[in-house]
Amino acid sequence: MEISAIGAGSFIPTAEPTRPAATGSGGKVFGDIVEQVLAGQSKADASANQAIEALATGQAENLHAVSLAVAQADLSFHLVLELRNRITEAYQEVMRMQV
Amino acid sequence: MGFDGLFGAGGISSSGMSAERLRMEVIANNIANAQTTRSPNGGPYRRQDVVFETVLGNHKQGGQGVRAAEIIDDPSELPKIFNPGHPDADADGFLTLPNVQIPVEMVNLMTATRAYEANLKAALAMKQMNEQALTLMRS
Repeated sequence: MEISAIGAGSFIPTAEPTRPAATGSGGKVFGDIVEQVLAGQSKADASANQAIEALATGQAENLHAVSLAVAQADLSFHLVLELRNRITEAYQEVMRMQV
Repeated sequence: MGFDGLFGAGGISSSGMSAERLRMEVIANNIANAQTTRSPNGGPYRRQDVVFETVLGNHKQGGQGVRAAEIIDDPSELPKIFNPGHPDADADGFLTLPNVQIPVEMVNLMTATRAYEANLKAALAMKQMNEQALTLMRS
């Protein structure tokens, strides 16, 4: 029984490896998203600051409006924090990748 | 971009709490003036009540909370007592008192407190829901 030697012809790639479509704006879009999220967070933060300032200067009419603004700022900060954690995690995962 | 869309229910609850606070103020004013026989309009104090109206958003959002439309005077009859010694008594010695009934006001006060609490609970539930959704992001 003849066993043919392993040659160049025995390993034929069935398909050309596909390259991801070049998207030059990929980084920019991601940066935009992060920027928008941060803008939303700073907006919530600013409204909380404003509410606390109004309370401190005696101009606040409703206590619940102040605490609600603070709660919203807290929540949006947590949202940004979680996003940041996920992004850092993904970055570290990529950096650990063996080349 | 803001996170206003995320906190829509919080704003609605806040408007409810503001409205109930105003109702509480009106009730407190009624109680404070339960014996007042002189008012700017002449005659004794008239009991006041607050009328609420719904705030409409666009057709997708539905109602966007509540606001106080107006404060109205209670037109019910003013009680009279015989008290000829009082300076505001009429020629027959009858004194006209405000139409404020303290038991009714106390019940209204309790209702306003409970309604405020209910709005607070709704805001708290909204906050908890958002926090629970955030835990999805934690691995």
